[in-house]
Amino acid sequence: MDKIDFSRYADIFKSETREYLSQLSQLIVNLEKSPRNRENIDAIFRNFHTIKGMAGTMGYRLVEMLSHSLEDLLSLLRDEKIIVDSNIIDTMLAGTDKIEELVETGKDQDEDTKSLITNISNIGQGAVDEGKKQVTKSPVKKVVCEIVFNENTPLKGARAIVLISDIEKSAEIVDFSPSKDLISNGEFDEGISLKLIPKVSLERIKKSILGYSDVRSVYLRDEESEVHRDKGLIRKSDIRVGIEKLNKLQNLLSELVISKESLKGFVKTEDRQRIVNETDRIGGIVSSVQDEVVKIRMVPIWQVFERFPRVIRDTAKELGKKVNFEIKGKDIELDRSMLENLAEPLLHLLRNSIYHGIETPESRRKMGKREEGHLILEAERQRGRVLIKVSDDGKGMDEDKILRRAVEMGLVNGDKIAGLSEKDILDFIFVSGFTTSEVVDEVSGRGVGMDVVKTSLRMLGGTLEFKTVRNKGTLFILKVPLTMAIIKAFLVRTGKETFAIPLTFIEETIEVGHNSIKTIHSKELFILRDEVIPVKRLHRIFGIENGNNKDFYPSVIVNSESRKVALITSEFLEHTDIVVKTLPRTLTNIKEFAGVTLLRDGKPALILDVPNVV
Amino acid sequence: MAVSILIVDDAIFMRKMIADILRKEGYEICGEAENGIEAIKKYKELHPNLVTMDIIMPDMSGIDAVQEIVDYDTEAKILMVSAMGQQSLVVEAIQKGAKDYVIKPFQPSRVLEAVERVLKTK
Repeated sequence: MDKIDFSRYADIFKSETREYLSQLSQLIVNLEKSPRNRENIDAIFRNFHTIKGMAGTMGYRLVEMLSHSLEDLLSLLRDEKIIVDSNIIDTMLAGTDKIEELVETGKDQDEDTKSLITNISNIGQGAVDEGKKQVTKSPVKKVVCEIVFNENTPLKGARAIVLISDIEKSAEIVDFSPSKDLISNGEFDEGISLKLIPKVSLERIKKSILGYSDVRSVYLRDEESEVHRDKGLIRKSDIRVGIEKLNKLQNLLSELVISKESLKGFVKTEDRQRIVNETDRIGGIVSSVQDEVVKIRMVPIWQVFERFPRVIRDTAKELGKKVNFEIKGKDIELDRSMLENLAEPLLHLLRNSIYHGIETPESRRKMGKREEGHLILEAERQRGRVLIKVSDDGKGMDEDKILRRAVEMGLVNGDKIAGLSEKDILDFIFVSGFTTSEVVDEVSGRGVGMDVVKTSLRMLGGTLEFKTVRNKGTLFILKVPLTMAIIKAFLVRTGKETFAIPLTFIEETIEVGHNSIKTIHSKELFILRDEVIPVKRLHRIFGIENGNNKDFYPSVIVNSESRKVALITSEFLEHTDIVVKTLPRTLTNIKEFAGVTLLRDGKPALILDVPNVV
Repeated sequence: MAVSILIVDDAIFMRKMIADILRKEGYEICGEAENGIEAIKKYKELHPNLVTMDIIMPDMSGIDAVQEIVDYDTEAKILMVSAMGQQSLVVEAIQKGAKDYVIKPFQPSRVLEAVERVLKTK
């Protein structure tokens, strides 16, 4: 094999290093503001580590040495052996400046760099000596702060953000639950939970928080005393991977390298047939790599479920109810990040069942039910997805009450009531801020927050359906894909744009004759096997040009929560696996899109958020 | 010396209402502005102890005005006045340096609570 000519990579190396360096200066500045933010420290470490690796390969010895010593410094910070001070920040910033200079000039001798490295190792040495002196130095005490807002707090997201910036004057906040973004959007139930390192007494912090009349209660306690609380059930942590899985991946990668080299050879000799064969082979290997990586990301769901019984027990006790909680299908596996994101919504549904579903022992007795309510959490694999069911044998939902409340809230006016189906009425529970008065009496004003559950599921590419029977109980069905990263989709073209429709929502594809589309009450629809299907034209939804003047329209029948719609496109393209990328922030408020993916030709295609389109 | 407050709102009615609530408690209304541009000008001229700032106004929004005022005086104390449903705007204003917010329609006690709290901030 030819010796690799590294000089060809010099430009990529430089531009990539520049990118890392610019991220680094931002991260280091953040570090000064919140010195114990572990994620931030890890990110800085990673960036230096990557630079080190690249510099080593490219033969930039000084850069390699300098990044290495900075990495050491970061490890000490991470292990809390040293504490961030302005000297450390200055040194790190000087380090990044130096790296930039060395990369641009390509110097391999520099006294300045050497003294900088000595400086860095001195800081580290100081810490080690210090450590020897006081081995028993106690780690910093973290405090968990739980704030519950009044139910009718206007713009509670904004209220929480004001509070947070107030708290930040007297404490460093190291963790937010839910995330700060969700908090600022008001996407939390009754309260938020923060982890702080206080700079003043807890009494003072508490007093200033209680100065807001929107705050109902605040609870501060040491982190250590945290036993099985229901917030932050899952810690994002490292994942353990069996060595055999890694070996398999390694083997596949070796094959890939060999294939790549062969391909290079065939390209040189312009051997068409062998190029085609080798490309196919590479395609095969890449799919296997994809499968293996997906497998590595899979974890059994008991890892989340096992924490629930304790929460259920506590909640039931708090409300004076008796609950027999049963879990089925623990061993089914799901993508790790999917699982992490499912924990909160699931817990929400379970608690809702105890709050609103299962009755008190007395009323159950009166109705001839067993005193102990039955709550079941069940997971089941179904084709490319997982079904999770939460069911209870409680009192079910009261349609009349929901309707009354919906009218009170102005969600529906009097003359439209008659036209509402049972499902329409029940669906009001998904309206943001919806609670029934009964709810308020019963559980001291906690909001149901079903809209939040539904939104978080949608963000995972999943759906939420439910069935309820008066006095018999309620069943929630969550359907989620096995993984969030790669999904199967059907590509369609509309005008000049390509859209991806996730396969989970597709019922069938048909061609609809344009004569068979009828307009009733200015809405378009057509009849398919005795069923009336509303018609939506993709190009109208997105306000783009229509490239279709044929007699038959290629249409995709999608189904979301039992609502069917025919989406009219210009052309069917193909079935394919797509890698889901989240939309840039500026686009996230366009509700018709769930994300974006890159097509084979490198052009982006938007992924349709079917529940929001139908 | 009485605490001086600049009221920024495009509706005369709202300005009058806020002024009444505050005057009753002994605050001095040192000026009024009906859009962001005017607010910045008056702020530089009057150096009020506190500003109440509407969000949606013609010519320049309250959010842009917050940005400019805070750029000019990092210690400016600005209280946003918002309608329901403007959560993301309020959050943006807070992130740009506004200290707190109140919601229309007003409850005088809430306005005073927020004003007092903002004045106390350092």
